[in-house]
This record gives sequence, structure tokens and C-alpha cells, in this order.
Amino acid sequence: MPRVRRDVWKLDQQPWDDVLLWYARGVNELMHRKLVERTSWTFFGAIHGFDRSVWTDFGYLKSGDPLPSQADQEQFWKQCQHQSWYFLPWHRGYLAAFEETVRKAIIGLGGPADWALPYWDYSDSNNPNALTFPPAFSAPTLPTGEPNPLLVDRRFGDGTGQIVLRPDDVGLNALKETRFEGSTAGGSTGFGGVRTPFSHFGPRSANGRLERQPHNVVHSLIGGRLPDGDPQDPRSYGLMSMPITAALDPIFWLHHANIDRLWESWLKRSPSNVNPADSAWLTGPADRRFAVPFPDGTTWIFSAADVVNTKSPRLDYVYESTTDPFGGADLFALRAERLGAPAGVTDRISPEARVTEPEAELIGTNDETLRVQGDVVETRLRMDSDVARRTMNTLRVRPEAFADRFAPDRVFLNLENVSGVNDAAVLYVYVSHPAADAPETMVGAVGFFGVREATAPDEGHGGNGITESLDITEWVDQLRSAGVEDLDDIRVRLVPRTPIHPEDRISVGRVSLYRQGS
Amino acid sequence: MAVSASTVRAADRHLRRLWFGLTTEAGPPLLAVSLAGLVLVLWTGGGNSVPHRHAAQRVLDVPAAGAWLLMLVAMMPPLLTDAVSHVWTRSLKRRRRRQVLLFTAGYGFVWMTAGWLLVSGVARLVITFLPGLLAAPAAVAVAALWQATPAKQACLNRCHALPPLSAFGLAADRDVVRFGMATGGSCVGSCWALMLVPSVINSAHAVVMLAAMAFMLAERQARCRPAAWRIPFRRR
Repeated sequence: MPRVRRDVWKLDQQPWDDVLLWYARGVNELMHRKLVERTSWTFFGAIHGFDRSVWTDFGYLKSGDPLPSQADQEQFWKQCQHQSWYFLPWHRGYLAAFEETVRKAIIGLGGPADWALPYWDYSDSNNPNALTFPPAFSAPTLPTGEPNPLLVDRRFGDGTGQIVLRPDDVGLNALKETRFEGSTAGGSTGFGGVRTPFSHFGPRSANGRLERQPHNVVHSLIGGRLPDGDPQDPRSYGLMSMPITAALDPIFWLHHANIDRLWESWLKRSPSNVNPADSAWLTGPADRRFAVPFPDGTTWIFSAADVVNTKSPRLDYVYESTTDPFGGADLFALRAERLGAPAGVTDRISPEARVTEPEAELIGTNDETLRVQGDVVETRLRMDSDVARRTMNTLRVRPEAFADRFAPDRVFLNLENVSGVNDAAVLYVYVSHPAADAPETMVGAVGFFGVREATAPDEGHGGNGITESLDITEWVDQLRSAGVEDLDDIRVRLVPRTPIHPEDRISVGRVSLYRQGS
Repeated sequence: MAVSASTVRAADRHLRRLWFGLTTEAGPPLLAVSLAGLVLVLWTGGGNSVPHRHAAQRVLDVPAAGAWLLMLVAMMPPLLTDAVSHVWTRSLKRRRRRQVLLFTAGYGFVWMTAGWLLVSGVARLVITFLPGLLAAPAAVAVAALWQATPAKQACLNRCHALPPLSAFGLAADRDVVRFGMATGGSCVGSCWALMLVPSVINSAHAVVMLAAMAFMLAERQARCRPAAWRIPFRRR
């Protein structure tokens, strides 16, 4: 029987259900192991990311601490896959090794053999507590009075001193995506990310949709930054804000269990949502193999093919719930209706005739680099009218079109070369159009998790920052059905969700609009 | 010298990343241009780029410039996959070809200017003042020295830059020419010394050129890292 990963907010007792109490004891056990041990808390943290000077400053690396062998560091450390189609499979294998390691520790302490990692479903709109930080992670002590290993100092939240998420932080529009693999060409970055080699940060980077939100946003909002901390100094930031320290916070594993669960939800919500069949994804990356230590002393070399089934022997888990946040709605039919098609007409169109071509094309841009210094920033987009008209034409519903094919364009707002030094920043993105009566619409949130590294000219991104692509198709559909024929003069507003200072040097190199379609 | 397992792994990693870069996005067409350039280099007799010691001291040496241009066409396109993909995807579709041409013009202008200085300047000096047998070792020594400097790594890091580009009108042309020249500048800074080696070697010119090219490609695929003094030709 596979073990069941349960929702932390649905555990029987709050805050200290047995699942969390044993997690705390297991974590404590791992924290007492030395960095050179492959099953230690810090070794697992370094598998995600490692930086000698920041770890030393934070007290995770003490002078005189021996480091693991060069071979161990090369094989295991600094593997975290971001801005990549390996984001989901790599983190799944990583979590499995961690879960098994904690479980072994728990069993050694007399705990249950079927213990499984809980997850935090912050997006559950049916649960009034969902957005609240699970209290077991901020309690000073365990029920026994011992210090609580799940509590870490370096967790600063959104700057208000507490960690409470908002519904807009954790929206699940990513699950509306129809393709796993996306591209960096301006259109969809895919549910699971863009094709890359081994990607511990690369130069042309874009976050996959699930990775951008809720993943990045939650990282930034939990880790946060000291309210009066020096923006340039990594020591001002919380563990969860930076990839080099994120996995040292015990909440990391519950956050990632939830992201992993959302992958299952996405696959389940529609039969056309499928993982890549490409061998480069299934068996890659070819340039460096994923490797994680298991507590029996073995090393598991894995690729996506080894983790696509959560009931496979190495993983052996299921989730308590993988409910579709959209209640099974046929989003394609909803879109056709939104554009004015008669209800039910889409039933005639085969799944193959619904797929939008993945080629992306620029429609328009703003004409300035935006500097976000704390206040709301607004910019206007200028369009190439031919391309904009073509896009709007594909949204026109013609009855005869439903005979064989209905593949209206999708439209994406790109924030290009997003850079800065504040990994804890979160921006809300709003769009509006002067011709439409509708109020401006929020189209997504952007979390700056990893942006500092992406901005450094001597790190993997080559200083280019990150390019974000937000799906604004629904909003454009609404413009179209309100009778708007062109896209001229779209306004984009970037609204800081967290405190941002001029010294954060946050900028967006270009804001652009792309169409994706044949 | 024994080759350690970790060196073999690192080389293998480079080759596989290289393969990834050359097979995605703008990789295949650029590789085709490069191969065409290589064929021309071989067909024209190995691209004897530096005039012999007693050749006329002309300011503009057309055959030498032609040979240099061929060498650029053969060696540089695979280094530009990210930059060309960036120009292509971030430009309006109706302007894509034009923008790539303008990028290439900016890039080529910088390299041709650098080539003129290198070939008629540095390489000629080396050949003129050093006995034939010492020219090649001298060029290798210069290359090794440059490889060790922080400036070299800073240039190599800047080769990865993909700046925002204007989409409309003259601003679009200006930005993409500027991007081409900036990429050319970083590329010259990173590779000039390595290009010197095939330039002074007349025998087995094509083989040396291919070796330099392979090294430059591997270097370009590797991650950026802090600019610092380093042991040349070594990644860690």
C-alpha cells in the first residue's frame, strides 16, 4: 500500500498532530548529523544549493567543519533545477530521498513505519485556514517543552512580521495550461517549464507556469527579508527566499510536496494533460545525471522516467487529495462560450483540432525599462496593428469554423529581463484597456525567488535576469467579447506586494505582448 | 599526466551541453553556416590569413581580410545560438531577418576591425620579429597568458548578455546593431588571443583552427563564473 501524504491543515489535531510531531523529531535527528554525512539536514540542503559564505554567515557551516569529499560535492550538491522542464521531476526525486531519510530516522526513534511527508495546500479555497502558516512551524517548543526544530529564525514573511498569504498569491491558473513543455520564445512557458539541459540556472531562462506561481511567490513570501535589512546583503534574507538556502527551512518540504501534488492534479484533471514523451525529458539530462542519497547508503541515479509514477517502489506514495481546482470544467468549451459560441458546439471538435500551435510571435512592446522602486509602476504597450488585428480575428467566432477546427490564439504578457537583488520581492501584475469598461484585471503574481542569482553577471544566467510570461488570454477574450477590435494602448501596472526599496535595483527590461497560434 | 575521472566527466558534460546548444532553436542553421565556412576555408587552401614576411605592407590587405572573414564565418556562428535566438524571438516577425542581419553586421564589423589589428598588427609583429619556429609557441604563450586573466573571464561572462531590444522603428535597428557590436566586443575580448594561434600558423592551419574553435565552444557553453586569475585552460 502506498503511503499517503496528507494536507497539513486536515490533520486530526492542530497544531501538533502525530504526523508533525514525528516530522519534528525526524528533522531534529537529521539536524544533529554532520555535513559530511549524506543523510544530514545540511547535506540535503546543499543538494538544492550551497554557498560557502552565506552558509557560514547563517551558521550552517562552522569554521573547522569538514566538507564532504570533492566527489560527493560534484555528484550531489547544487542540483536544484529551476527555469527548466526538469523542475518537477528533479524535485520529486529529491523529495522522495528526503522523505525516506526522515522516515528511517523516525522509525529509529520508535515512530510509525508508514510516516509520509505532509503537504501545505495554501490554495484550498474551501479551507478557511489554508492561507495561514501552519502553526507547528512557528511554535517555540514541542508539546514536551523541547525546542521546536521546525522553527527557524530566518523566516521573515512579507515584511509585516507574520506569514499570511492572500488568495492572489497562490492562484492556480497554471493548472489551466494544456502543455507540459513550453518555450522561451514569448508564448507559454508550459505547465512544467522549458526545454533545457541540466539547469542549475541558465542564460535564457523562463519559469514554467507552476514554477512561477504559486511556487516562486510562496518561496519569496515565506522567506522574506528583514524589514530594515541591507538589500545588498544576503544575510538580510530568509532561508526560503534564496535557492542556496531554501531547503534548510523545514517548511520547504511541505511547500514542495504541494507543488508535486499539483503536478498530479494537473495530470488528472484532463486526459489531454500529459507529461513529455520526449526521451530528452524522460531519460535526461544527458550532461549531468540527477543523484540523491538514500538512507541505506545507496545512491539513486534517476531521471523523469523513474518518477512519473508516484506508486513506483522508490516513491511509493499518493496524495490525500488531487482534486481539480476547477471542478472538472472543460476550459476549452468555456473559452468558446466566452467568445460567443453556442453552448455544446465544441463537442464536435476533436481534441487534435483544439490544440493551439506553439509558435509565438511578438505583437507589441512598451518602450522603456521599468524601475520598480516601491511605488506602483505603469507602462503602455504599443502594438503592431497588423499582428494585433490578426490575433483579434482568430477570436472571432464563425459558426462554420466549428465544423472542423477551433484554435483561437492565446495571448501572453512578457516581463523580460526581470532583475534585482531582492529575492523576497513579489509583484502583482494588472492589465487594462482604455476602450473597455471592465476594471483593470490582475493577471498574475511574480515572485523574485532566485532573481539575485539571475542578475549576477558571473552566475549561470549571465546577468540577464529572468523572463516571465503570463497568460492573459482570458482577459483578451473578454475584451473581444466586449467588442474591442484592437489591442492598442494596453496598460500594464506592476504593484508591489512586498516592501521594495530603490536599492533593490528591481527593473523590468521590456514589457511585451505575444500571440501564440498558427 | 593522468586524466582524472572528474576531468573526463567535466569534458563529457561540456560535450553534451554543446550538443544541446547546437541542436535547439537557432543551433542547426548556425551550424550549417559554420560548416559552409569550414568547407570554404579548406577549399581556399587552409585560409592562410597572415601575409608572409616580405609581402607588401599594404594597409588594407584584401586577401588577408577575406581569409579572416572566412575564418570568422567558420568559427563564430555556433557561439551565437543564444544571441540569434534572442534577436529572432524578441523581434516582430516581419522584421526578424532584417534584425538578424543587422546584428550580424554589428558583430562582424567589430570582429573585422579586431582582425585588421590582430593580423596586420600583432600577428605581423610576431612573424616579423620572431624566427618562424618561435612564432607559434609565442602565440600560444600569449593566448595562455590572456586565458589566465580576470579580464578574459569578464569578457566571457559578457558574451552571455541578452539585453532587452526595442521592437519598432529606428530604435529597433539601433538596439540590435548595438547588441551585435556589444556581443562582438565581448567575443573579441574573450577570443582574440585564441584566434591569434591559427593566424600565425600556416601549416595545419585548419586543424589548429578547429581545435581553437572546439575550445571556444566548450568555454562558451560553461557557466559564467567570477572574474579572477585562473590557471589557463582549466575549468575549476
